Amino acid sequence: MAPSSSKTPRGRGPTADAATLAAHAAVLADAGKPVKQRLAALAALGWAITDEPQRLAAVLKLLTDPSEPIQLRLAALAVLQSATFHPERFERIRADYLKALRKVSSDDDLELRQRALGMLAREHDPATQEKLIEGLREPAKALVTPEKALQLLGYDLHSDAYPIARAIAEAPPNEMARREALRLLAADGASAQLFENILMDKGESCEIRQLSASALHNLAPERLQACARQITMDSSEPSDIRSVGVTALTHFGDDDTMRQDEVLNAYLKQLGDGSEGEDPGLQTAARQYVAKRLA
Amino acid sequence: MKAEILVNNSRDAGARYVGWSPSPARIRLSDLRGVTRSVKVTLRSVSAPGGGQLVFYAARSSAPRASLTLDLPSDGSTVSFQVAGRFGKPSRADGDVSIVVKAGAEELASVPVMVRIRKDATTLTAAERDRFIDAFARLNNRGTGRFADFRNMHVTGAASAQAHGNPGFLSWHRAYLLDLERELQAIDPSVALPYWRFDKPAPSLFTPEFLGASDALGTVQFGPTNPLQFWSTDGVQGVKRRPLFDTATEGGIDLLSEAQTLALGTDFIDFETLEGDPHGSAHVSFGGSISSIGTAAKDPLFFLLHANVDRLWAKWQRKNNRFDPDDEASYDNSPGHPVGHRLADSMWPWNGVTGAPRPLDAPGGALAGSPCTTSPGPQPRVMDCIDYQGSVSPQGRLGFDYDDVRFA
Amino acid sequence: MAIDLVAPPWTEQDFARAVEALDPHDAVDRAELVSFLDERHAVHRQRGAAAVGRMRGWTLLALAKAPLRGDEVMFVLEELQSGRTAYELACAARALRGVASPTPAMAGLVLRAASNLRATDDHVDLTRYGGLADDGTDAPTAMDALMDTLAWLCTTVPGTAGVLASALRSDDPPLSPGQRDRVERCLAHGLPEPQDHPLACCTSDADWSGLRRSCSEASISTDAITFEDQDGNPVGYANFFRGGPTVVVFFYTRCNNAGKCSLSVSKLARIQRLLADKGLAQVIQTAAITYDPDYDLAPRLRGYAESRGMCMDARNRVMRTTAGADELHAHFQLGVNFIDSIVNRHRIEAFVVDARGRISASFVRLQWNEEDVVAEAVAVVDRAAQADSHESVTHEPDGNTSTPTRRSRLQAWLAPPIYLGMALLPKCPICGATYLSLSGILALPHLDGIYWMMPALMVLTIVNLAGLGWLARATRDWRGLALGWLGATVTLGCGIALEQPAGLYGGIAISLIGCLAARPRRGRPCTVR
Repeated sequence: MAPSSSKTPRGRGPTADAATLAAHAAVLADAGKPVKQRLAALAALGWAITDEPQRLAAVLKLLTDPSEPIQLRLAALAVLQSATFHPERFERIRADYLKALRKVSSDDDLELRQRALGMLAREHDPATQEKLIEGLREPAKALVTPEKALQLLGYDLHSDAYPIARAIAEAPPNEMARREALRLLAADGASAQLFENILMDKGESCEIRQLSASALHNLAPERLQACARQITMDSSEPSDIRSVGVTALTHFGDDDTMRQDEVLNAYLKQLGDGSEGEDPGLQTAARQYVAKRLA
Repeated sequence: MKAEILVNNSRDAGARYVGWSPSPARIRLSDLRGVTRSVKVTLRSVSAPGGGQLVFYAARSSAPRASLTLDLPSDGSTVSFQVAGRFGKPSRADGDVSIVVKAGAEELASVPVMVRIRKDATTLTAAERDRFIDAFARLNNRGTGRFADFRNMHVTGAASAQAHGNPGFLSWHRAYLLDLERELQAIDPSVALPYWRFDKPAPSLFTPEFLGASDALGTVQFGPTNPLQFWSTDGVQGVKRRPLFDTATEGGIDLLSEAQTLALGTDFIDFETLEGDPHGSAHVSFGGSISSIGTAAKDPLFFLLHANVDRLWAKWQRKNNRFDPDDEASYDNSPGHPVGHRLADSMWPWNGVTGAPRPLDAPGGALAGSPCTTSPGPQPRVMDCIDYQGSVSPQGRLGFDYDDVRFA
Repeated sequence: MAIDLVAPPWTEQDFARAVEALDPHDAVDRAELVSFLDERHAVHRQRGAAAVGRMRGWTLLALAKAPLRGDEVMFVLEELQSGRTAYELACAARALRGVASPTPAMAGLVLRAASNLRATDDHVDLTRYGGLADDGTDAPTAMDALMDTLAWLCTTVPGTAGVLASALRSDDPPLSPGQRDRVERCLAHGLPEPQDHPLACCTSDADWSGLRRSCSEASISTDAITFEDQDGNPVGYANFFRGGPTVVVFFYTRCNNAGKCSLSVSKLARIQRLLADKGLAQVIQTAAITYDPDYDLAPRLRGYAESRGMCMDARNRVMRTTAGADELHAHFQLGVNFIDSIVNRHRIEAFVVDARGRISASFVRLQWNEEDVVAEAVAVVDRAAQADSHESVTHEPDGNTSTPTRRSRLQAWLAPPIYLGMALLPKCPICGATYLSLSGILALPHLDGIYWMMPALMVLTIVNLAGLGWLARATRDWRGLALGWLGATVTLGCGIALEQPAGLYGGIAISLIGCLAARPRRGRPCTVR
């Protein structure tokens, strides 16, 4: 079917929209108006905040002004961030947007700071990466918690964070920081042995072992399968980690290997059939294995 | 005496999937022993408890019926008919409804079929949910699977301009989701892509058993039996997602409701503003990967978010009868739109075209095929993604439907 | 240099100060600055990609304080063509103004940089290391830096206007409306297009390919290099690369610059199609080798290559090293560095390897054209075919004749007697006749009147010596000729003149050995760029 096309570009009525938008912009800029009204004006403007340089500048100024209400600043941030989903708009505003984000990345408000840093980290902003790493090395300069910093640094696997992540993994300020440090280190292709050791260490928490299983699956899947089998068959292991092992075997095991492993299959069949005292989650995992592999 | 039914005109068991849109089918007598004249048969839908239900059409233009009577020639030649799911009665499992053919009391054939529908993620049964996440986790397959291509299609730069900011946004994402869904169906044909109804609470979606529950840091935690715990993109483990709202009791932040979205306008040029709100607003209702265009596809939730955007478009199309690409109100084909956004343009990356003004590379190759339909073809054009139910042209049916968007 | 930049720990600020302390007008300092741009330099080791980018940008700015010439310009062009980050592109734009002889075509690269920058523009303060502007200042953007350089080209280099006008007409590279406006402003204020400067000479990227040809014998043994291919099959370097020419590209699956690795593998797939169209698919192999062998396991390699259209079989593989990674890097002189095992920076690099596993041509830094690479590979095939039929000279830059490796030397000496033995084995009636002739020859001294054949013998000897002399000149190997002279002397002197049968037999034997010693050597003429 032959498509038709209009001879002239189609559009909405520009005059009415322009006037309305101008009115909304005026309300937004008026610090004397109630916050609710200003929020409504911002929502009504939507992506139109990027259409004119003065309008954009006003919103960026609002965002970076600590004297403005935090709800309004966060809402401005959300609208700006939403506009980044429009490539042509984002092109026009990116430089000024990043500049504003950097300014609020050290804001007193934690939520605003955190969101700004997240956006900058996802843009692989080098200056932000430097700040986050500096905060890990010198906690007095930290903008966010070490676990948050590590999480944000994980957006760019080419960052400088590996040495500090390794140091934190060995001497963590808290368990969550260690978790995020390990997650970051899992990007290093040479770290398979590290994660295999952690996975098989019964002294480690289930959460860390689960993360290690995932990392090992990424780096050396055949070794994960071997470890998963061993963990599954070891009744002294916690049920949760055994469930992780069964899940790895169920969904990612080699078909031929699984089919031929009569010992494992019999064991899981028995586990799934239910016996007193077995963890319901583990039984469910075993039944899933049986349904998928032995049906 | 036996009969043979070809759903979607194919013997392939992989073709026995229907939606609300009528699927072509054929029936014939396959065992002609003792047959001397034409045989009158009745086709009915027989469902397992809670299973899907079917309706039949003698011809596409006729009214749907619960049963259909046909005369089958004695020479074994085929008779065409159409079959579809009864609206509101989707399947919950593969083959939970059958086409049963009887001649009098004698059963000549029973073919299990599935009414495969994209559903609200919060309405999935545990089994449906588990099949979906299993297929999704295997598609991801520690970043080595085809999922890497889907991730690499949705990045910043020239690639982003192919899919955003212009009228082709909806068509491109429709093709993108369809490609992904068909890859999931290659793993498990019973799977359909669910959607996240972002203007409503979705407590069962953001759980360790489904798409994960975010901790205070914004790291998504999956249960020990959830295969998505092995999710990996760009060589990095896991999913970063921090909801900025209470997922159990709220929908996304400050976004248009469904009713408001459908009321954006009856003309496409007005409706397409949904790209900003609610689509953009849904994305930025979170911190984490899904809130930036270059990282959004790292989060599996992204695909359910866009399935809802596509559903809203489908619903708007149904409400305003906007399936004809020739209708200016169905699509803004004004001059001046960049390549990839005009009706007759093929869409990157499926067209394999690289170099200015397209991106430098085209990961992933052609769009996946389906045994259920030949549309939109391996290199879809923008226009091929508009008549998704085959309302204008039956051959244009794309092979998916939403649970709350009927056919006609 | 005040700071030892090889021995850690040193900070980037240390590096910045060290670069500032170097005088770009001093040859030694300048060479050191250029060395910092080599990806393999130790300063890049164990640094993140952003840090490497900052160091390179700062170095480019320092270098450009004196005119940029020759290979130095390639670093600037490379960044403009394939770079994505605001700071580095801004530095390259500024550095371009330090090029001693700018050409109009460079404007095309500036436009390409502008197109690449559309998604990554940022404010950049080039007076500060790393470019981060103070919050309060209104620093220009990287786009401003590019447009400034474009304006400079427009007002300085005749012919630039034609390049820009052509780019705008073809929308290649694609620019935003704002960028197009700025380019048009440059055009409006620039030099008019000269009448005698046809546009055809000013195409954008056509003149740069980064091609270097090299024919030197490898000094790095590749015997230790082993690979695993996309199907998990082990393969040694010699097994794959010996026997036929190969086009090789390097990449890794986690490269986030679509203009580098993803494009290289996609282009390799196109090369496969070109070769098939030319009927050369069974003659020329292709290979893609990952920089990241720990992470890029076989399934990952296969998936990546498949999604970019590569065909894979025994002659076309995607591989990771399982042993000999250092040797591989040294053999190809790969331009890559790492933080832990993760690539932090690499250049674009593609190679044509000949049938002996030696690098015949390399395309580095700049985007290469598939047809050019295929042409180089075809040239390798042609040269090999020519070398089969005649001898050619190989030269190293210092004029020494290249020598085979130890193993091939042994093979060279053993081969003739083995082949001769095989040839002498009686296989057919002709062989029988030959042996009879040989008997006849041996009986010659016993024939009456043999010595009247002396003129004929002398003519044949002269012909033999002339042939040996020509071969010796061509190969610069005089052993065969020397033995031929000796054999002739013994034959004619002892054998004929002194009528000594032993002298006759001995002389003939020495002449025969001389002929065998003067076998043609494989090689080809080369030009070193």
